[in-house]
Amino acid sequence: MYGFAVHGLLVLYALSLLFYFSDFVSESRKVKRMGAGLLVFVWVIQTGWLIRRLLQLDGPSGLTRFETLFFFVWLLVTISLAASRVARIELFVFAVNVVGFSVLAAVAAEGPSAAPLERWDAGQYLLIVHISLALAAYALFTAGAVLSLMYLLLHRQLKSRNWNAVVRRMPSLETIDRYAFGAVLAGTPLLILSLAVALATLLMARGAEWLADWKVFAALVAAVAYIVYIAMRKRRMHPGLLTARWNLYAFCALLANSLIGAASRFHSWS
Amino acid sequence: MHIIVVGLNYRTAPVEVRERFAFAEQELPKAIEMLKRTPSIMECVIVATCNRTELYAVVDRHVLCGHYIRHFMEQWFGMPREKFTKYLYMYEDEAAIRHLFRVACGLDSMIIGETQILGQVRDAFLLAQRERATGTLFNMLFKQAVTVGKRAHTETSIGESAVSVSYAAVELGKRIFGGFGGRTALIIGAGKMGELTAKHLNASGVKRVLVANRTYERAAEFAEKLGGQPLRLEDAAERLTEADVVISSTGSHEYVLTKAQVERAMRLRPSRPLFLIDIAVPRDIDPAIADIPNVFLYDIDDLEGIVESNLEQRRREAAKIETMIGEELEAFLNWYKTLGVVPLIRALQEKAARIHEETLRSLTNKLPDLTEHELKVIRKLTKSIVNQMMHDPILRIKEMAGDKKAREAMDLFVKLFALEDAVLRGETSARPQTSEARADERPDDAGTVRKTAGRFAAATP
Repeated sequence: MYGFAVHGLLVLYALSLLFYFSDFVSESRKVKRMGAGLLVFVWVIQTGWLIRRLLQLDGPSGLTRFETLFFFVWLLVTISLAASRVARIELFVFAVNVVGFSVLAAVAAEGPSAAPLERWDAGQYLLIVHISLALAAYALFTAGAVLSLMYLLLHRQLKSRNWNAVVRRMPSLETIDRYAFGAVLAGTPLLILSLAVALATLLMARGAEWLADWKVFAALVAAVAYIVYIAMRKRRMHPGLLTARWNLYAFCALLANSLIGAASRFHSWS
Repeated sequence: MHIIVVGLNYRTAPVEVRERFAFAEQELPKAIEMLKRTPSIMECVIVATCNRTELYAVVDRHVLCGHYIRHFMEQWFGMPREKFTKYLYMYEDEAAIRHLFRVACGLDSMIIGETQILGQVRDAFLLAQRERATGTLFNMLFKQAVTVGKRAHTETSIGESAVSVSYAAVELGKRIFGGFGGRTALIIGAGKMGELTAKHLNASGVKRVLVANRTYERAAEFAEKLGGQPLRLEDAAERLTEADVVISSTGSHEYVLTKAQVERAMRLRPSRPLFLIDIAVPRDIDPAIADIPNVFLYDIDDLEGIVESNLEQRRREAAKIETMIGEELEAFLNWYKTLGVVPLIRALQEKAARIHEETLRSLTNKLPDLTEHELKVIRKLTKSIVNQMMHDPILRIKEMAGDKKAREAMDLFVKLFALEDAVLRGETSARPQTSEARADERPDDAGTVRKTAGRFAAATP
């Protein structure tokens, strides 16, 4: 899905974000509805393409980086649309989709890529499970990170006693904190399962000596960081500001993990 | 026909005058009946609230109608008009319609954007309708007023933000906690402002209320009103660990809550935010408390700043609503202009139907051997010819009813299709009467300010 089709999708995606931004700057329900409508349209196109690609693929060996990241973006759009049905949370929808748009634009600019799963022979199907779980976890953690950023922003505005359109239109601190925790709570077991599947695949396809790898280490650090966040939040021994910051630190660890592919002996995917 | 409104409101009359022009709810049907019987008044609605008394009327002659309405008010309220005319305003035609729309949208209210007035306008219309005091014009106009009022509140956020200090405190609290369900409020000092804010919090779902006051009896009295628990003032700091919201409004010249006290309390509940509202002057709560993590401290100036910001936001939304009102006004005027052509179209259709029937009768006389089926086919085909012939002229006259030369077009229509007899027989409604277009504001003889508008008057049938 390259060339005209992907550029068309990017244009629609950008337009929807533009409408959301416009609504945020100068509140207009009509403009917001247009943005939401376009976003739904983008989601429909993405869903259609994913289904078509799934049917076209003859096994996981043909999977490229484009499909996986496209799936990640689809997950972000899905989460944002689901959140917008639950609460008026336009800033969250906008921020999550800015991330989604950036990823889609980057991967579209990269163009067609190789299918690295070909090298994994019998472990390919397990790796599909690993990738799907990892992407779902990443999407949820991204949503959680956006929410924690919103928490910090709102906290700062309230502390400085600034009353403006941003404060007026944000959900409460309590709500943001609850949703952020919910996203991380849902994402962490997915990440752990994804790592477990990956470890199993690595052992099966390569051997235990391959576990001594930067990618494995970075992934474990990210998982531990999120477990610490959950523990902090559950014990309620720290102010919300601190837990929000920790969530962002954990997300940074996750980002580092996703970028560390170059240093890995086997994880050339990212 | 013309639409006028005569009334007084919080801007033009002080409360001691307004209260003398209040209609008791049970007397409104009688008042409407009396107003309906006033000369020249064809339809009427009375909108009576604590901030305004307005009489809307459809009249056939606007020049004297202001006089008749003032006469009605004289009789009903038992006061000579010289005493109250100076408080009255009068709008005519387009200005009257625009005024009604603005009232329904809350733009003319004391608190801009308030929603209660919309229900009051609707109820006033429904009552007049039940009393058979409304007709074609007001049935359409008031329904449209209610529609534009609903649009104003659903398509803008004019009514959403707090415009009083006590509501601003509640709105702030919602930004921190989301809702107040299950929360505990600590009220320090049993003053009026504190009581009002506490009542709003209570209404928002606060689960428990603690009231601390220097005088324990006063605290108990206050706590009973709110279903809460009284405390001595010196015990307030110890109960901070339980509170989520603290409202302080004592007359003390020293700080009632110090930084050390709050820090001690926060160590025991680090994850729960504490919202402090200090509405006392001089302040009750040490401003340095604002630096403590997870503590949000607001004083009276901050709350008034929020109110002002929200009012400014409402004014911006009001500008959007004015645009909406302009659109609805245009739609109403366009509808109104087509009213005059309806009788002409009906007359043409009746004439065509008569000709069609007469022709068919003549045909059956000349061709008596036609079968039932053949007659049916002929009837259907000839009817189709008639309808197709009339379709374009009817469409065109409807379009031309909205033009500046609508009257000439309608006159030509009557001439072309020879509908003069039908018009004279009264099968049509009154021919369009022109009124001079007036667009300026000028006081009448009695000093009431009258606002008129051109387009409606010029197009008045």
